[in-house]
Amino acid sequence: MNSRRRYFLFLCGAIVLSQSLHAQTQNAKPFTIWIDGGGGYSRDISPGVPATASPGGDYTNGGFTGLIRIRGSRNHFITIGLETGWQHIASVSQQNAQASGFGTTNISATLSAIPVMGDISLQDYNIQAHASVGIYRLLSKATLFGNTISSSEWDMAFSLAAGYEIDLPGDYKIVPEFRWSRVNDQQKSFLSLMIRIELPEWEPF
Amino acid sequence: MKILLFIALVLTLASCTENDNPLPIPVRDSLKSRLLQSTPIPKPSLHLLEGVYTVEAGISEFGDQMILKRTGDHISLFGSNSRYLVFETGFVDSLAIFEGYWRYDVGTEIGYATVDISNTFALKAIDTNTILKGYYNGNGTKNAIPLRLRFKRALKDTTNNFLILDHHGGFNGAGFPYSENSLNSILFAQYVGANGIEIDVKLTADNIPILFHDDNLGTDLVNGEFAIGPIGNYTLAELRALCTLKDGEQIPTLQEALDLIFNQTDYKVIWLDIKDAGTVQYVLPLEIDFINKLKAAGKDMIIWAGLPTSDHVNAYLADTLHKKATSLCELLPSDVENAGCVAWGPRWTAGDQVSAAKPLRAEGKKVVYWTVDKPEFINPFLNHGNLDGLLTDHPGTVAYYYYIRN
Repeated sequence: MNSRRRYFLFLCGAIVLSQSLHAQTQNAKPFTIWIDGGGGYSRDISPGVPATASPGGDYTNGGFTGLIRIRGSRNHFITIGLETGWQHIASVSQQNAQASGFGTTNISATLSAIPVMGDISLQDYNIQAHASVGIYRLLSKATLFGNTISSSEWDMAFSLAAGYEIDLPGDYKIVPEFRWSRVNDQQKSFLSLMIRIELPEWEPF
Repeated sequence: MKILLFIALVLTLASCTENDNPLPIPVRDSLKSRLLQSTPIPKPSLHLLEGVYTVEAGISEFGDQMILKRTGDHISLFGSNSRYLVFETGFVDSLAIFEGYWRYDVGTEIGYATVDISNTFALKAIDTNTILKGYYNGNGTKNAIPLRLRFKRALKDTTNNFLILDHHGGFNGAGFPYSENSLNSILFAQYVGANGIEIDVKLTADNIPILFHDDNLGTDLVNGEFAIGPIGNYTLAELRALCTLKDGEQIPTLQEALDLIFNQTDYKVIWLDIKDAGTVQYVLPLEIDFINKLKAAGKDMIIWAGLPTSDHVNAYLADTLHKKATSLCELLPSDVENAGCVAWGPRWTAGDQVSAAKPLRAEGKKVVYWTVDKPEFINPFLNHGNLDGLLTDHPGTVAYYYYIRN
């Protein structure tokens, strides 16, 4: 399935879900804002792409991921919001890596991302489901041949997540969240497990 | 229920995988290959076989007619349905053996194929009793399907002067087994109908022209997780250490590509699609060296520095080396004249522009339209256009429709 079809399917799914829930949005409440944030572990589950031109070395394709999300709604069922954060994607350290025509070099490189996503979420009892579409700012930093190169690019992305809300004292909530994300051009998929803390609801109006 | 819907959506999307890796050529069982014991067939003898063939067995796969063309010591056959056959060749006893594979230009089907012909073809004129007979698929097994082609007529145009340029240095989106703009794809394209090649030129951070199409490194073109963003951020050494093309080959430099083209191909024309105007000054010295090499060797090959924008034209004219270079302009005929270009490369969607093409051709300039892929668009240009060639992702299809015409 190509990326355009994947996005189309994703958007169709989000629209169908929103429409199917329309009936439950009739009893509007005061506009409420939710702010939450947290962190956890994210792992790249894409089919193996060689890390560099040479095999081997010390390679990891997972690490810390952190997320901040702000949502708003006039009801407590469907919310719309924004989320951002930081995600470690991969790192590698290689000794004497080959560079055709240029001999060998030591390589130390990391790949990370800053997601900026629009979020639609729904909540039924204590279960939350999130669908997000937006962009990833991918950041690469590599040191080789005694030089450090920083390079970056924007990439379309979407994600789906499910969480379970547990009440804490003082109207705080803790939400374990399982998340699947897809980054388009770089064809990467991630699975993340996070713990989020949700601040008490805020009704500004 | 809603949560289940979400989970279903997650699983559906997660199950969708993408695969941009080039398709490999089927490797014949070298122990069984009859070509191991063969002697080379002289190129003039292979050239005799060029022509239109009627497909007597294998119509369902290859259509009712195919075009046979020779390239070096290979022969290739092109059908109307974008299927083609590529054969290595050799004499074994009283037979000329052709072994290779078939594939589909716009799909992923692929398989083994072989045909034989009596070696006496090399000694007499080819006529309608000349038959290539063999099979495809099921290498030597009961699954093999008969393939028989009968010579119908010679090609009307035996000059090989009509230019069929392969896009992106052998566009791998069309099912090529190699990465686009790779040395392997440049070699391979000549066996699937191209007698010219268009290669894309970008510049590294250390100002070395390389073969690459996109502004950004991406997993559709390279393997190398940490090589992202603009390709111009990286020096050649850094690119060579951090990534390879999808087929495992290194990103080639323009110099490496030109050396390969000079030494190992018989292309009629090379179109350098210079992606950024700032790259022109680094390409011209290499082009002029190449032109001098061609002259010294007396090789019948031409090279064009592609000028797709007015910025390119300005950069070209600002460099004194342009007086020794040859170029193609994609803008208006007046720009072709003003920049002193030897060729015009209009976009095909603007139509055949016969009235504009005719005077340019009368001056000896070449006119090549880009990028024409489908038969319904190829044929009008062939039938009504005033042109020297087409740039295409499907050279075999263009070859079929050009040579099948009466």
